[in-house]
This record gives sequence, structure tokens and C-alpha cells, in this order.
Amino acid sequence: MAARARSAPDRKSPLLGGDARPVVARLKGVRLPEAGLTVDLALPAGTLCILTGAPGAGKSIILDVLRAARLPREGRIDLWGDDPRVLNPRDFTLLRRRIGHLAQAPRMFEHMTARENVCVPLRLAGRKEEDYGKDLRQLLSFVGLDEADQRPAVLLNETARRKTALARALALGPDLILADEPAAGLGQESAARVMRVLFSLPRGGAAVVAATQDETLAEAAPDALWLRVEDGHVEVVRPLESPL
Amino acid sequence: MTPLAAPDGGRSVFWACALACFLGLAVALGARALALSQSDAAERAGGRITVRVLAPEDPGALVRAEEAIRALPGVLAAEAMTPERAAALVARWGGEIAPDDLVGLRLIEAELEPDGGLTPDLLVIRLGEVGFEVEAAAAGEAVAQERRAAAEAVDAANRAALVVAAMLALLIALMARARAVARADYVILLADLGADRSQAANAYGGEAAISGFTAGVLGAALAALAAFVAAPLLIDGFDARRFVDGPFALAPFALAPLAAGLAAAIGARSGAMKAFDQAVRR
Repeated sequence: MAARARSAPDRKSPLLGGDARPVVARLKGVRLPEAGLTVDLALPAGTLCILTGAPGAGKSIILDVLRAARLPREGRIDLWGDDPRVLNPRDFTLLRRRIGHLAQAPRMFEHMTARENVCVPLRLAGRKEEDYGKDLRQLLSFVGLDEADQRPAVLLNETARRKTALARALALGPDLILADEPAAGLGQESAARVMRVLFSLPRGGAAVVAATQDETLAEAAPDALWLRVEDGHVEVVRPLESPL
Repeated sequence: MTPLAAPDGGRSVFWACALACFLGLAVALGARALALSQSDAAERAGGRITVRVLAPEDPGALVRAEEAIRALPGVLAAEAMTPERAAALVARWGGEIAPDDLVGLRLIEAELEPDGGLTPDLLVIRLGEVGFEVEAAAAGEAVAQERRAAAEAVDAANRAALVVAAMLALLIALMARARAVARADYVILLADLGADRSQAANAYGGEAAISGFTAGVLGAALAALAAFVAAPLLIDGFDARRFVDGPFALAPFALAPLAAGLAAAIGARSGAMKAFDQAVRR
């Protein structure tokens, strides 16, 4: 996997539930009127969190808040100890580079190949190809992409696009990975591969949040924190039992 | 390295830039042509003397005086002024008089060689030597007025060309900005992938600059084709080589593409920054 792009030291803070790991993200009393939601949650580092709920329940909106793409006014938002609403532009950019996002319908630079798409975050972070070339090959192999594929993204099928988006989300070695319906629209084998990749990431210390309406995914990951969005709140279906 | 900004499928800004450069140069060349023609007119007026034949008074004296003037060194042409020509001249300076009221003027217009040394006083003496009593006057105030009018027309044309160029540059910038905003999806994607504001602006500004410059070169080439090939074929006596009369005469053809690229880049950067701000502070 590509080298990590840490821009600030991890901050330790007390966790809900007495866990000693640093908190990656904490939302407290965050009101999301567009979804009729009030959100309280905390994500320790190295956590796999499955966020379930019916379509339209507000899962994607919560992911948007966690990646600082949506900044509601009410409530406390804490990402690595910082409130993104008050960060200066430079720190805000650095914070967002610590977050990898796999959208439900990922947008691509359609004129670029899959490999070039994956390189974009690295280019934006000022990395040189000679420094990340080896890591990039490993990353593409990790998600099951063919590095030699020279087709522009516009010609890729849905599975290849999803894998490309996943590799792109992981390119900077983010500390928080957010995946919205990561298996939707994929065949059984491809879905299993994507989920295997996502489920393996917490072992490297990253926190992963996978939002899905398919609760069998949560059942398939017994060690994961399982949250359900229901009746305007986020309820804990299965807490974290054993810290990594 | 593949550019970050996706190629613009719309191409509307490209063609707007090409058209703007063509129109801008057409206006600039039109202004230049007007300046040259006014300058020619003033030059022509400056080389004229009007002669009034006082004596002898017989009917053939005017024709003989005309021939005598024509025979003088430094005279290119001489012609008796017809009542119609006199009425036209009066009308040119704001007066109104019927040609019938101008019969018997006994005026001759002489066109002189530039720097031929023949002055009105000298012409009176020379004609006196061959038996004619005449009065002679250079175009004088009329020439000065012609020159002032020419200078004003040139200034006005230049100002108009500058205003048109500025408006076209503004138009290009606004179109490029609107196009960048319309492609906000890519700006949002860049922001999601960790771009900062200046990276998003640079990605779009760079692409727009290249597109605007290329379109400007196309527009300038078409304008040059129109000025140097089409116009001489379509307009009798049009000599495009007269435009090329100094080291900077063709500068507008180089400046137009540069200005188009710059305007497009400024507009696209502005649009990308607006889209970026909306993307990161929802």
C-alpha cells in the first residue's frame, strides 16, 4: 500500500466505552435537518464500522460529515481533534487528505486510465512518481486492478471503476476510509474482493466506515462496530468488544 | 503527464475565443484602414492650390491659364473647378448652394508634387510672367481641418478598437468562468481527492489558457487571411501591404491570441475557485 500521508500527529483522547485507542472522528449532537437526524458517534483508530439503515435514512449524509464535505452548524464535529469548520484552508486540505472516500457512484477523470486516476491524489499531494511507483503497483494488485490497462476510465466497466475508486481512496494511505454501498452493483466475486480489502484495512490502523443497507455485511463482520441509522438517531447495534 | 482538468467537450469557449480574436482584429484593422485613408486625404488636400483667374477676362482665358499652370514645374495636375465640384466642396464644410449659382467662378485647382517647392506666391509670379493676373491660395484652413478631422477619426477608431478588445476579453473571461462552473463536478472531485483551491484553479486555468491561445491563433489566422487575401480580391484598390508599415504593425496578430489565452485563464480560474469554495464549504 502507498506510504501514509500524515500531516499532523495523532491525538489521544478518551473514548466512548473506555477504549484506549485514539479517536479518529467524533460527532456529538450533530443535527442534520435534511435527514431528520441527530448524530452521536465516535470512531477509534483501527475500527471497522458498518453503518446500516434503510435507503434515505441519512447514511450518505453522515459519511459526508465525516469527510468534511458537509459541515452542519449544530453539534460538535471532531476529526483528529480538530473542528473542520474552523480550520484554515491549508489545514482543511491536509485534513481531507487523511480521508479516503469511496462513493456509491464514483466519479472518474474519464480521460485518464485507471492507473492515472489512482495517481491523482498523489500528484495533488506533491508526490513524485519515482517515490510511489512500487507502492502503487502493490496497491493496484491489492484491489485487483491491471496496471497495464491503458483504457481511459470512460471505457471501464462498473467493477473496474469501483476498484479504481477504491485504490484511489487508499492511495494516500488515509487514516479514515469511508465507503458508501461498497458492494452495490458488483458481482458476487468482485463484491467479496472489495469487502475483503475494506475489512483488512483496520489492521493497518485505519478506521473504516462502510455504509450499506445490506445488514448481512454487518453480520459477516463479527468484530465490527455495527451502527444503525433509524428513527432519526444512530443506534449501536453491536459495540466494539475487543480492541485491536 | 495527463492534465488534471478533463478535456472540455463543449468547445463553446474555444469558438468564442476564435470569433472574438477575429472580430477584434477586424475592428483593429478597420481602424487602421480608416486612419490610413484619412491620412491620405489630408495628404492630398495639403498638396493643392486653388487659383482664381482675374485677367484676362475673355472666355478662353480660363482654359489657357489651366494649360499654363499644368506646364509649370512641380504641378501634377490642374483642372478648372466645375460648379458641381464647387457646390460639393461647400457642402462638405456644411454649406448649401446650388451649382447654378456658382457659374463663372473662374477657379482652377492645381495638384502639386509633394515638396515640389511651388507656393501660392510663386505660382502668382510665374503666371504673371506669362500674362495672367491671378490670386492663389493653399488649402490652408481646410487642410488643417482635414488633418484635425483625420487625427480625431484615428483616435476614435483606436479607442473603439481598444473598447471592443476589452469587451471581447471580458466576454471570453465570463464564458470561461461559466464553463468552469458548469464543469464543477470535476472541481468537486479534485477537492475530494485533496486538491487545494489553487490546484483546482491551476488545473482549469492552464487548460483554458491553452485552449484560448489556440483559438486565438485560429482567429488571428482567419483575420490575416481576410485582410491580406480576401479583402484585396473583393475591394478594388485595397492594398493590404500598406498595413505593414512598421516594426509593430503586425503586433495585434500576436497579441490577440495571448490576450485570449489570458482572459480565458483568468475566467476559468475564477470559475474553478468558485466551484471549489462551494464544494468544500457546503
